[in-house]
Amino acid sequence: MQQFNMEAFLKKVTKDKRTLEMFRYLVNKSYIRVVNYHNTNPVDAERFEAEINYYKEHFVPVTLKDIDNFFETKVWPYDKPGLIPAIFEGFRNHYDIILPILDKYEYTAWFYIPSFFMDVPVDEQIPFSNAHELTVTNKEMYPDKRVAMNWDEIRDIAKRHEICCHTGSHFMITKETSDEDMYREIVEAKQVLDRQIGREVEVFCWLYGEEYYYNTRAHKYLKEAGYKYVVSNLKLERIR
Amino acid sequence: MKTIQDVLDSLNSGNLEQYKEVMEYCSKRVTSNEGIPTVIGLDDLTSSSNEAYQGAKEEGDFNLVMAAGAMVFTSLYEELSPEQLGHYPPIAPAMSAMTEMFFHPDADGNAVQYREVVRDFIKE
Repeated sequence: MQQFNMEAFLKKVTKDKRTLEMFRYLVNKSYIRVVNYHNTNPVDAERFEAEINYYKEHFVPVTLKDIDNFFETKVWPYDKPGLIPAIFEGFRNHYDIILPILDKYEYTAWFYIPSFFMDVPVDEQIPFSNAHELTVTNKEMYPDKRVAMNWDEIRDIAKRHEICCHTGSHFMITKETSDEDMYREIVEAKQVLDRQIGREVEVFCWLYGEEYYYNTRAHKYLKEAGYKYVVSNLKLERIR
Repeated sequence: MKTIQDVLDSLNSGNLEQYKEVMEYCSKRVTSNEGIPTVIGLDDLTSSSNEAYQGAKEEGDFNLVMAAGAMVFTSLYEELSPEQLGHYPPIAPAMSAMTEMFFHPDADGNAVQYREVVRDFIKE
């Protein structure tokens, strides 16, 4: 058993301002639980159902309206804490496997869609997913090789769940990203989603833990596009 | 563990094995196929106010346990190399490990681990 050294401990946890920021959110009760999902394959359906059933019992689902109200009133209005199932990448297996479970338990999820993926021709979807780190773990599930949801499926989901933009082509935006690429992946990606689901998408989600303050060049495009919230793997930031 | 004092006591006693065991468990999860829990901060950049928020009633002061737990995990992930961390800051895996260990309080205020949710599906 090692001797605890408070000085060393404090030096470690104060090295990075993001650590102290997270500490502040937790102490200030300004946080939300998220469970991140990517592939939702049939083999895991029983586990997903056990999870959603558990969330239904111990948490409340969260809508964007709940987040709006929380920021306005600074009060979480429910006895139970909120939990968001975050479903990433727009895979077809989301529609077929986890969506019926979410709907059975009437539990709202947030679907993060790379909006150009849906318009990739079916024959090219697996090569596209390989090239854009959209890891499909059961490529044989669909003999017709369509692994992305189509727009009808996304429109159906949008009726009772939150739709968020996860860039256009699952693109990692960095400080070095060109203006042209930023415009396409932030602004045009939202325009495609807005048009297809018939309402404004308010949430943009970075890839790989980017955060709003880190990439100030992207501010212009996030504002031009009209997003209200920006999500990273550490926080959800309201920007307008 | 149910209070921040319990977390501090575990630190003082030098007993970090339970945290390291959770880190080991987290490293074996298949992120592409499994639900991976975490907690994210909510920040209103349009407001200059730094007021505290009022959380869910059933949560009580469990947020303090989570805050202390996140710091313990951060100190442990700090010891890993950038390559081992996948170039994420230590707080990122720390928040996920913290949520795994302190998923929510039970009726008596004790921490429930996320693996309890999926206990019937964990492959040894």
